[in-house]
Amino acid sequence: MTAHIMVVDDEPDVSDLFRQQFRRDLRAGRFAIGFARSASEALEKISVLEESSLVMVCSDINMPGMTGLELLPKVKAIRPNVPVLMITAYSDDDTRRKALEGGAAGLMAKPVDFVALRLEIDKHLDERGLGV
Amino acid sequence: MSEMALAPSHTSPSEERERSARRRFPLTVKLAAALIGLVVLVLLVNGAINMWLSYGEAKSAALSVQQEKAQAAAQRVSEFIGEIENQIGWTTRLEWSRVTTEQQRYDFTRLLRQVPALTEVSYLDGKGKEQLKVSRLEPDAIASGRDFSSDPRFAKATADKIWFGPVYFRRGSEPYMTIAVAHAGHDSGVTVAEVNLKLIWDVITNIRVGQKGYAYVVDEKGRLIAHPDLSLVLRDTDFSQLSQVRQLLERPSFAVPGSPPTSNSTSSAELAEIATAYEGGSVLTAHAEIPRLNWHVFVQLPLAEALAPVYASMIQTLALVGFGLLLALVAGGYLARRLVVPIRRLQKGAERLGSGNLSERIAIHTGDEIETLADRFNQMAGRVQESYATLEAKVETRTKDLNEALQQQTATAEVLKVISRSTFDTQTVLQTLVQTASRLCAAEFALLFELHDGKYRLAAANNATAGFVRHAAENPIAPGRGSLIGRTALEKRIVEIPDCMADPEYTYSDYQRSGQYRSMLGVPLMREDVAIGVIGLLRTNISPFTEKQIELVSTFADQGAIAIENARLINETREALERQTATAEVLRVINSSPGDLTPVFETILQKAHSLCGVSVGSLQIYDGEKFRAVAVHGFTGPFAAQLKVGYRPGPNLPHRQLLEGARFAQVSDLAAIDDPIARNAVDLSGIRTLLCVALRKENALLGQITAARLEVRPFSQKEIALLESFGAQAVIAMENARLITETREALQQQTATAEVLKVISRSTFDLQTVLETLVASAAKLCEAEKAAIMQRDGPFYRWVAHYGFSNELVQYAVTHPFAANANSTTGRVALEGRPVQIADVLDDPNYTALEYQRLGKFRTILGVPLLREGAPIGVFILTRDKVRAFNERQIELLQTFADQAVIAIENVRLFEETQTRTKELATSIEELRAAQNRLIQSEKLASLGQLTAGIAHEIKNPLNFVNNFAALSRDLIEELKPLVLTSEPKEKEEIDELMHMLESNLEKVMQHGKRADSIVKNMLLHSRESSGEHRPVDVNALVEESLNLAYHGARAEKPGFNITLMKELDPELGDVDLYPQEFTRVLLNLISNGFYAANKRKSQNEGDGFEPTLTASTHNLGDKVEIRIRDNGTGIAEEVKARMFNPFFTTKPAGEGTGLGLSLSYDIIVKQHGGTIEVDTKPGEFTEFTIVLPRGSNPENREAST
Repeated sequence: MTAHIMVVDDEPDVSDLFRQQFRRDLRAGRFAIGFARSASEALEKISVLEESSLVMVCSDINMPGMTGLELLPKVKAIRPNVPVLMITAYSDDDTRRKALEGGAAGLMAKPVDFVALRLEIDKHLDERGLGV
Repeated sequence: MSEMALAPSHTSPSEERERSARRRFPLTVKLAAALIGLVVLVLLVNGAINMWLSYGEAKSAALSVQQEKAQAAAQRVSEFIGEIENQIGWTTRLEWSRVTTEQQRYDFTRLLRQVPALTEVSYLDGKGKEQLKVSRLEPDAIASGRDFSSDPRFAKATADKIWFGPVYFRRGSEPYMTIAVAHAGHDSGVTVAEVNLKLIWDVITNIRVGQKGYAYVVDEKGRLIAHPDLSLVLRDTDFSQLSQVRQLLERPSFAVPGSPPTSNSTSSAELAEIATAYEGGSVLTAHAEIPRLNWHVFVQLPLAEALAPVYASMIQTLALVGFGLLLALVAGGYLARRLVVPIRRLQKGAERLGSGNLSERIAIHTGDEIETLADRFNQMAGRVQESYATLEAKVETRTKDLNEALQQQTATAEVLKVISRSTFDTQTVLQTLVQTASRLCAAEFALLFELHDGKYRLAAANNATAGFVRHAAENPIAPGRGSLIGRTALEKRIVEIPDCMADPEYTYSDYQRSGQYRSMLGVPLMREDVAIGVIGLLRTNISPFTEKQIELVSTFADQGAIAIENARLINETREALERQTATAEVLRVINSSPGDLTPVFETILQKAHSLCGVSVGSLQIYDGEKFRAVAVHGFTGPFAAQLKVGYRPGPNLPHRQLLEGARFAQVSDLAAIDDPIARNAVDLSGIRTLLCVALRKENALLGQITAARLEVRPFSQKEIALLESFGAQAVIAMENARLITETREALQQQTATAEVLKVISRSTFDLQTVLETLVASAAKLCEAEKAAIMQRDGPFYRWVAHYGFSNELVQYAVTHPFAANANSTTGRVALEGRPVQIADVLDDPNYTALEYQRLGKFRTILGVPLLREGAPIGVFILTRDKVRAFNERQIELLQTFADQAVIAIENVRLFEETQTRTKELATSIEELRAAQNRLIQSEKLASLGQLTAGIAHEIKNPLNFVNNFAALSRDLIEELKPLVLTSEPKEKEEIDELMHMLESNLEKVMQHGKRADSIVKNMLLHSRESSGEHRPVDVNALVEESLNLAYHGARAEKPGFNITLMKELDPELGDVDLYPQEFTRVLLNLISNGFYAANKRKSQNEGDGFEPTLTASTHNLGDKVEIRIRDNGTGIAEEVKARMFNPFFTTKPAGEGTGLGLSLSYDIIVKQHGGTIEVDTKPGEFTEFTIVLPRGSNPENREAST
């Protein structure tokens, strides 16, 4: 069973960025990254994936339509055990407080520190016993 | 009719009505009514007694029948119950309870068969449990064990041996009753039987009483048990509300259960015999008790049926009464007629007598009291006839008397008519009076004397000879006893002299001789106790005057008095009218020539003289010294001229008396007076008697009006009064003239004042013009040659406006201002704050401003103060070159001008003040506008901040991609390198080169991306509201930390970097409440700027021993702290200093600074912490930033307050 990481961002280049950054992991098949361009698309894709195969969700906050903060409780409702990491350009205290209150696993500021993100991913993979 | 005749005349209408009402019942009716009433009464009494007796009898008979029926019914019921009780009885024997149940059941079945009334029998054992039940209706129950121990059928039966239960209904129609009988022996049980009471019903229903009567049974609670109407019983009707049942139930003997029943006869006797039936209607009722069951049988019969015999007897009685009535009518009518006929005849006779037919007689021969009555009437009529005759003679005499009186009255009336017709012709009236008096009183002569100057003169006479009239006219009669007229006037009452020849006191024989009269009557004409005349009646023969004649004459005398009085009043009125006409004339003249008194005085004089009948006189005015004629009448030549010139009155002249206060003074002969004027008057104008009347106003003598005669004849009171009244007119005219003059003057002044005011109002702010107008006008209006206004200047009063003064004096005045003292008029006015006048400055020892006097040549001087809020602010003076005092009016006028001057000065002062204030306001408005501009500027900056924040965010996202992808690409190239190495060697060199170029390009992309990123980050910091928390922080520690951080940061950036750091930290600085993160950012910013500047200078002056130094110092300022960061760098140029806090302004080369450092620092210090940041610099030498922070516990609040 392949571990999945769901990345939600309205910027289409995000998918290239993530694929290139995690190219070795992807090549090695440690996990697969699914991309969603909107919160609603993300919900659709998440609902298809089994909970056990979804390692984590990384979501942008500022998106047209449903925002990341609105998406957060919906994901928690259908996949309560999947950690959700918020990634945003607006990493002020208020947004952080809202995200953590909504049950987010953490909040990362843009530009994304990929080293830190990778550590985070590794942590969750280990928790699932999928770490290598 | 006889009643009417006898009725007193004062009968009231109500009594009258009563009588006529009584008369409606004639005697016939009364008699008949008496007879009939008697007969009917006897018959009625008899009938009533009869009815009473038969009623009692019928009632008791019916009652006894009912009683018997009730008892019989009760007996039947009682027997019925007794029978049943008996039948049950044998099951209660001692041995019965010991037989087998089968036997018992058999016995019960038998019992039911024997006694049809029983429906059900049951046996309860000693404990009240049902052991056996045999019923016609239900299957038998053996040893059902139902517990009846507390049921009354067990409990009551055990206690009382036998118990009769209440009546109840089975299946809604059959009445039942429970009978329980205790078995013999102890606790041996009870037999209970349900009894159908239908039998009792049959008994009751069959009882018939009369035709409509019936019987019914009630139980001890009054409930109906049996009744012919079955539905009532089935509805369980309660009869206890019926009075007869209630009475029975309430009887105490009945209320005690188990008491021996009393006998039926005694119990029923106490109950109501007549009662109301349940269905309504009165009934006769009786009852009987059924013993043991406590039931009651009632029997009732409708009352109407029971009392039928009584009604029959009543009808019989009524028939008897009717017959008696008829009989009485016939008998009464006959008797009454017999009695009434003679009475009617008597009545008619009396009517005839009453109508005046007195000779008529009444003929009645009944031989009883009515006949006697008729005789009395006849006698009475005869007597009345006699008295008529004497009465007629008396009337005749009286008529004659009345005729006589009528004649006199006619005469009197005629006299009165004459009097009323000739109101203004007294003579005719008096003539008529004497004529009529003479005629009516049968006197040959009638005379009327009128009072004139104390004597009585003949005014009218009748029949008098010419000789007599002449004699009388020449000899007026004085009051006295010697003559009839004199005596009457003396005594003021009617005097009669029966014969003047025989009267010892009568002395007027000459009169008597010329008249030849003897008897005399004198009547006075009285007015307010004065005899204003006398009427005398004279007869030539001797005969007394009758009472009536005397009375008549006295009436005439009264009329005469009225006529004379009327004439007097008319004369007086006429005179008053003449005087008023003259006065009106004078007033007209006064009105038509206001101010010019000469025609007025002449008219007054002329009118006064013409009314008094005087031909010479004058009207003179007194000026306090001399008398001067302003109008003369009858005088000409030198004397008139002398009077018009004026003269001082000599001591002997009557003028003296006027001066001493007399209203008038009269000299009967001027010739007797030693005085030159008097002599001239006598010699030149022939004056002899002189009257002087004073003209006064409020005790002040204004002049006199004189009247003179050319002969010696004093003026009468009337004439003096007349002259006085004209004198008053003259005073009024003089007063008017004075007032008019004054008004004219006032008008002139007001016009002038108005002019001045106009000038003032036209030149409100040209004070000098106003003041000069004021001095010029005041001088003119107050008849002064010169005028000036002094205004206060500290302790002195200086000239500000003048009129008429020479230049020399004005020059002198500049150097010699007045002080507030007694030396000058101005000084005195200033001292006292009120008007001061010096009549002659040369005559005033205290006046020392003599140089002024010399230059101004004035004598009289008047000064009034210019007062503002009670304090003098200046003085207004007027001077006259000759000694002449200013009068009250002028002083007042000057004061008005002074007030105007004050207003003008005030106006100007206020105007100037207003101007100053306006300038101040304009300045502050300018300042406000500048402040507003600054505000707008800072608003602009704030909105720019927000804008940049928005832009920064937008830029940041693509920038992130740039940076991320650049870094990623570099990694990718690294990764690519080993792969490329494996390629062909000939291409290797080229590939290497290209790779290297790509690598360095990506390096550049990353470098510039980071730069852009840092700009954006700083921009975002600008817009951030707050970051982190504020808390008390040790500022010294923060400064040290920042220095270290900046130093190491700089060294990390530039390896060759070096600088001397100096610290002067105040140990007393303590904690400050601030945002440490933000504040550190400011310090880092300033310190690194300092490092940059110091190193820049070092690089510029390389090798001259310059040592870059940065000093950080802190100071405790109490509630504030001060932090200074000083470097010895390049300094800041003036033009840079002005812009250095602006965002994006930087002097560093491109790429070395964002231009946001100082701008951000400014925002943090000023806006976030409420502090100040200032810079002190000298280009090429040093730069020092000074931050002052308040210690305050809450920086947010400070922020809000800035």
